[in-house]
Amino acid sequence: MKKFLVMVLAVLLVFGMLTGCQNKAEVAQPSASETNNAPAANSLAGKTLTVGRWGGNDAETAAFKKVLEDFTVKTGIKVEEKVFADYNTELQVALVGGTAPDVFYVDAYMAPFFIEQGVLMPLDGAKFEIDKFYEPLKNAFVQDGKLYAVSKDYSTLALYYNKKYVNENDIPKTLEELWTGNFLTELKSKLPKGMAAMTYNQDLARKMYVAQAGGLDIVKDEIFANLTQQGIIDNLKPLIEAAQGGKIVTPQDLGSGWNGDAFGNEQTAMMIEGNWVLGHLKNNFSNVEFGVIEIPTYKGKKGSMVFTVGYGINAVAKEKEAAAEFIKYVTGPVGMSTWTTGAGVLPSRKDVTDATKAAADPLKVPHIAAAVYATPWQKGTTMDTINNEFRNYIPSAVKKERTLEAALKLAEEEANKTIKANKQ
Amino acid sequence: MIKRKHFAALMGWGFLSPAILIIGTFVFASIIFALYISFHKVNLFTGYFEFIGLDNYIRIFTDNRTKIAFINTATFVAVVVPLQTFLAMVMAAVLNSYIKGKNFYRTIFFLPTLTSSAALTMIFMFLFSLTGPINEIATKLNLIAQPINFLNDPKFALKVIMSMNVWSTVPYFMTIYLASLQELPSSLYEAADVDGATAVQKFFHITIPYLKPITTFVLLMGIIGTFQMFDQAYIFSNGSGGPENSTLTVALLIYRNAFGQNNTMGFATAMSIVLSIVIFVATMVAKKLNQSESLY
Repeated sequence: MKKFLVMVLAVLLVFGMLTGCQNKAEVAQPSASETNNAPAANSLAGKTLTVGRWGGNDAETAAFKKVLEDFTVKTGIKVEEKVFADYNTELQVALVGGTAPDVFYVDAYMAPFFIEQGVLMPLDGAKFEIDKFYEPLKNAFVQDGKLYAVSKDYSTLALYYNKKYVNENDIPKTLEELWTGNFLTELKSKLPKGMAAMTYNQDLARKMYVAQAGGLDIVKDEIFANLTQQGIIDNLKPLIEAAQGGKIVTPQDLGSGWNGDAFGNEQTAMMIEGNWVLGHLKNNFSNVEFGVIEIPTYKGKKGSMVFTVGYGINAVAKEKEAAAEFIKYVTGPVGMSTWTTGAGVLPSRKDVTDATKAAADPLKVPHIAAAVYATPWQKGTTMDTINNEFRNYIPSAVKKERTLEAALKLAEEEANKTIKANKQ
Repeated sequence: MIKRKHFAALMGWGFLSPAILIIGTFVFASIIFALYISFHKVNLFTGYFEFIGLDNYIRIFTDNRTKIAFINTATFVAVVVPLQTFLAMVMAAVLNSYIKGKNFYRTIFFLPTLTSSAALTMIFMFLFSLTGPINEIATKLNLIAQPINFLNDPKFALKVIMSMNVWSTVPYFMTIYLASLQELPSSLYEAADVDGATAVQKFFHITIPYLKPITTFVLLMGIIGTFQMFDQAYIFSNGSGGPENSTLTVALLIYRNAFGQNNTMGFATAMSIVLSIVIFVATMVAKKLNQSESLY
């Protein structure tokens, strides 16, 4: 009995400490908004909004800060930033734990997953002038006719060539010719020893548009891998054969982390990369003279990948109206101009593209042109698994240990086994 | 009035309560919750919980990928742990002898441990790349005819990570051995000298038996560390565990099932519980084996 009493007292003590902490927190809260003097006659003025994002380079951070300041001046809504380092992991933890920000970056690739989990609030497209956005960027966040996020900027793939070694007019006009013809072999013979003609990536993110050329789909029944369809194998064949023949190599083969370094260090004369590489080349390899053109056509059509990130509202956000107001501003003409010109990224809206004269930079023109026809890097909720198996078995096809058919068959089987087990 | 005895007990509980609270929440409650989810099909986003009994555990033993992950991890442990323990011991013994500039060597040898494993992985990926120094030296010396694609070949990928892991962990264990060797009475070696023992004999018959308790510690830490290997495989394969699942470790597979698009937290926790049981058993066995040999 006495022991019990002691226990009870100990528990009380602990509770006392806890409630003590809680009280303090409650007292502290109002003082934060007290100091707020709203500039505009806005019912939302004085509210505090949290925005989740990943850290970018210095230019991006500065541009983001500027947009936040302008927004607060205009609306009186305060914004608190929450920067996640390992974004998709930390954001998931925050969403599960109920501590996620009101507004957060949504990677188009992860959008179908988040929509399926019901963590994103459906948005009213008209409020955000969604028709002024490029089609692929808008559609990346639409499911069953509902909009779930608004694109903030985008990147597309284009072909980069080193002007010292490559003449733009010599580059084949089709990918078929580039991969199966003699251009790369002849180019390689003219290059310094050890320099590759062109680099590529063994990742579906970089060649989904190739695999799906001609209206095919690498996913069947919404979730299952569909890599062994004859058309898809045929689509990938020229690329893999070029890799088998050593015409194209991966940057890792050259000892580089990625294409940008391999190209900058003149280990390769050509690459297909996204416009994020522009800043990298300018800052670190200013001596390399290069040109950018659209990716050569495949199956008679222009193709590229587009990567976009949007702003979405947490389905359980406390400040939903303020959140919508925030998205409206940052993806509106003024906010997007500040952000894209400051961070050096491409605006998702056509009117902002014109207003900021983004197309005045010839290096960005091919990237902007691709925004209209590029395939968004996004495919349902099982792409993680499918791409994983693709990357697992494609190297064996490149090394000719397996035929491409066999490698893709293995990848498809393994992926579908996992998908099936996960969905059970 | 509270009696003095009770007051003392109360005071004890009071002082302990912060620790009990913190450990209780972050360790015991988490373990219990993990056990709970491992028997369920869960979706933490929607709060969906469905009791499915042992299904998650059964999947571990029927799933081909899990088997690969456990085999990879076991191979990794079986190669790395003995190698790192032995090398650490030899290096400690060498650095404990009367050689010139041993403080300099101690510092140099300890540097790999100070480097972050992420940076180390990038360095090793450069060293072992197709056009990297290792291939260049090997082809120049005519050891190999063609450069080997270490990073993209399932036969070599895990071995590169093994060598990196040995290289970066040996100095840490070496330091622990060195600390113990400082205490080793030189009279033992002197007596051996009188008996005409060689340096190798002294190492095997004096140094190793003397270091036995330390070896147990080194083995335990080595086994625990290697079984949980994640970051190096993650960076090396860009998260895929490839090529052909050759760098897929259990920890990486757990991560992949818990996060990303898979959302199979129940299966992931079941796997982590099995992994902790495996680690527990392996460390116990290692401890027993190391003790069973007679001392001296």
